[in-house]
Amino acid sequence: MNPEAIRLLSDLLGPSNLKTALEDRITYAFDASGTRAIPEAVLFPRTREDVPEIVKIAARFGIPITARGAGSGLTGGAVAPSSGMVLDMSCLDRIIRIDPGNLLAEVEPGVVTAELQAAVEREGLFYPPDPASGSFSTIGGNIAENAGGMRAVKYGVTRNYVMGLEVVLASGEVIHTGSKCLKDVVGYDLTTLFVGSEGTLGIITRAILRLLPLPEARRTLLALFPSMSKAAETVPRLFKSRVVPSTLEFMDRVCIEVVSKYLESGFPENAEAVLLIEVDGRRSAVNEEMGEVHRVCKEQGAMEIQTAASESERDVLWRSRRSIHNALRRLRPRWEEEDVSVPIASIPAMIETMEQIRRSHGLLLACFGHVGDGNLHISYVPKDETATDSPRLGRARHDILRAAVDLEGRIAAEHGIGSIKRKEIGWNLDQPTLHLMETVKHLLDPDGIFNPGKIFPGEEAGSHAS
Amino acid sequence: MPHENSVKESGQGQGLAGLGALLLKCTKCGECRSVCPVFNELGEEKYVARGKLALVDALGAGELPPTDALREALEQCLLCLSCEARCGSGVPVSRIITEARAELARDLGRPLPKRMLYRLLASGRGMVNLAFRTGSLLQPFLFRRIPGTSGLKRRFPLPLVDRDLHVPRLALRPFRSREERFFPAPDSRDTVVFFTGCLTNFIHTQTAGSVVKVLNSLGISVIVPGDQACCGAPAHAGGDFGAAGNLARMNLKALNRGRAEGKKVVVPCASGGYMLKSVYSLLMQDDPVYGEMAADTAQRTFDISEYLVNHVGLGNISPHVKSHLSGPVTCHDPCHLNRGQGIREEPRALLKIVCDEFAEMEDPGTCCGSGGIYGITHRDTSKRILEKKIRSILDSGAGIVSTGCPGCIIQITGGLLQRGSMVEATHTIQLLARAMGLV
Ligand SMILES: Cc1cc2nc3c(=O)[nH]c(=O)nc-3n(C[C@H](O)[C@H](O)[C@H](O)COP(=O)(O)OP(=O)(O)OC[C@H]3O[C@@H](n4cnc5c(N)ncnc54)[C@H](O)[C@@H]3O)c2cc1C
Ligand code: SF4
Ligand code: SF4
Repeated sequence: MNPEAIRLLSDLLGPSNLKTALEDRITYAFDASGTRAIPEAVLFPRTREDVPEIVKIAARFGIPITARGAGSGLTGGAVAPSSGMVLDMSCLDRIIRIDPGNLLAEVEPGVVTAELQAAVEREGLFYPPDPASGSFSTIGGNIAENAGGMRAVKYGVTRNYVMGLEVVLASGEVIHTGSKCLKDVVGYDLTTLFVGSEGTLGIITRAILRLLPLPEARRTLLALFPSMSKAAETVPRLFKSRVVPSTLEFMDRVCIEVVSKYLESGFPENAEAVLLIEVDGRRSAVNEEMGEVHRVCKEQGAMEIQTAASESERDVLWRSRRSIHNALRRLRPRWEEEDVSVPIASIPAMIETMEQIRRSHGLLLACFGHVGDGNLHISYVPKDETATDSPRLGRARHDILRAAVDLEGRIAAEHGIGSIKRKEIGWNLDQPTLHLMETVKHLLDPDGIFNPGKIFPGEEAGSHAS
Repeated sequence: MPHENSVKESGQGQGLAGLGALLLKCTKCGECRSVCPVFNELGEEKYVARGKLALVDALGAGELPPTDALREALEQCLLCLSCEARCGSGVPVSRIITEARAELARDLGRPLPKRMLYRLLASGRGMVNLAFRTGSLLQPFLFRRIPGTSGLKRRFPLPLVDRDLHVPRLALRPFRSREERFFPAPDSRDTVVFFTGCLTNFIHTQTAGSVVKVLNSLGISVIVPGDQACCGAPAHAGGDFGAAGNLARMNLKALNRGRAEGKKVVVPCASGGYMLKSVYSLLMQDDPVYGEMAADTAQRTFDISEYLVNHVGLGNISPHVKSHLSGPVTCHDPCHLNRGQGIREEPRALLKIVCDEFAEMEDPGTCCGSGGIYGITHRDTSKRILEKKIRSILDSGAGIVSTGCPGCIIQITGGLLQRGSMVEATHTIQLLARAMGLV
């Protein structure tokens, strides 16, 4: 890296906040995607005001700069090109204020999601976006990826809770999008432009987040079904009886098997699908809705229904859903993972196609996810443990994404495009749309210093580690 | 829940080559960021398990040479097992880190003070006794007593000892003697072997006494083998598998000799128990003679609270409790007891029969920052980690904090003294002995 740039950055941040030793750079070479590239430097801004200054220096010397939250992303978004610098935003972790009167919170981007949730809950408030990585991922990363989560079916995704942003542009200018007002039609909606922009358009240094009152009560139910179609049909039936659960998660037969083994607590042998359903709201309404959920599940032929009467019983029911990843990882450490979504009514069709893909490619394939909002997670490995069969996995991956697209679905539901789905982005976006996006990118970041190699096809990116 | 993976592969000391498959288990998910006390203070990836594993990986791949900077990153670990317990992939982080430390020691040598410490501890009883004896005679010259406590403060600048460090007072006479000691119980219904561990033997001799008195009054005879040695935890943590292995053999021999053979082993020290239960088997895995003995001994080893609750039974203990402790009592879960041995309920069960009010502190299982010699080598971070623990203790409103690890007692006492707090940190067995009217 340019020695002058290093000197300037070191003067700005202090030498201890600029790391160029290989030992440091190696520890910032990856995220949770398996993508890897060793950056030239790692920077630790200590105040928000550091960020525009850093960006100006990066721009002046044309050094790529990649913001990073917790590096829990699954698409390589936080991996800088090897000619670039990583900006560790997790140091900016102040909750600036929680404002119960206006139902909002102002935070720095490095605040860990679960810490914000806990802080607002202490005030009787609620921040609904709930990615499974919430105990370590950051708000900045959630915003940049437009993270989803378990409660999306009722409450939506991160986008629905971002009211305003402070963003540092590639010019070093600081802009402010949105406001503290729920209703706001002053100019273009730039907030939404930055939500889900994967660190390619600007660096988020502050966010105004919308909060809700904490629901008074919630009830949880776990139902086992003898067939996947019966479970899948339960979803529209619930909507029809006017129940919108806050959580509607499902797992397939493979998940049931591995989780039973992992937790050493058996589900019935012939269970083909599990639904985990939660309702929340006023206590009286919740009890009534839970009754309805129970009734519908029964009607759909659920073989067993468990309900939680207390928080600790709720934890027990959630344990199986939360353990899927761990259980799969104990079976084989590395799985390919796809994150797709389809219109909710197409879920059964999508699951059926996965069954065919599993058989025709000789895979161990597990399907689970947020059935209420059409988001499926598909984890797969070759059935034969010794096979290191990347062409076969590549074909399977192709077929999975294709299946989603054929059902009018999306190749990325909540994990983003990053560097790993760039080639397929055109499957979802027509040429003029993609071109407009590239034009926007070019307009905001003409020299391409922000997170190059992400989202758009054809640019350099980190290598995919085996 | 101990991870199946931690003992499956071949024994420790195999070098980085043996770690490949274990390193591959790490998916770099970042989950360990949410629990690592060191990362929590320092905030850089190289201080969290994921980063350390990436460094070990790079070292193994020849991408990174063995450097002091790398060593320092790997030294910044308490081996508190928080990451290991949390990790969805079951990565045996502590095993990888100790193995990498060993590798670096081979390449870079070991810093002199550590080298001396491991050698001393590995030399067995005679030398250790002499060293502690000299220490206990010297301490009036080096330290002054802090009134009202069992603590000392230094008089002069000393290497490794900073101004605020609370130094525990060495007992004038260690608990063990060269010869085997036998404490028969009247109407004995069981006989156990007592593995004391160093701190209980040389510093907390009262705790050792309480173990014997409590067991004897419950009708259990106690054998204290004379030739037991340091459990080897400090050497193992430093990656000195040679020294740790020697100590393991010494102890296995001592615990399986004469009338001790085949008996249950009780341990009042979280780390000692963890070594006997989990680490010795790993260290001795490739040893034809001691491998089996280690596995067998592990099956018969119990933390003192575990033994009392599960083998003696609360119903047999309660009638011996003469008076209840006044005021609320709280409990700190030592890393090597809680995550290392999965023991959380047993100490609480004992406390609940000796006190009127049990006050759970917030996050009783977070590390106190002691981490063997981490508290000395990384004083500043250790103090910051301790600060959080002290806050939870004080917030609980308890007048006594009970725990099952002499290292934690020393660390927490230091933190409490620093705050000018009158809260007492002590071993669970001491409280039981007190309530039974034995001390
Ligand atoms: C076990 C596990 C479970 C997961 N579960 C879910 C889930 O349920 N739902 C879900 O949506 N995702 C999930 N994820 C994916 C991941 O956690 C999310 O994408 C998360 O939002 C990433 O946050 P992070 O702080 O780790 O960001 P990083 O991974 O560090 O970065 C992600 C992207 O955000 C950019 N970025 C970070 N901070 C800023 C900033 N301040 N300004 C601009 N750009 C920035 C980066 O450049 C990068 O492109 C999961 C991941 C794991 C490992
Ligand atoms: S939690 Fe485990 S798998 Fe995840 S990054 Fe940490 S060590 Fe690796
Ligand atoms: S053992 Fe403890 S200190 Fe070491 S990396 Fe894991 S969590 Fe951090």
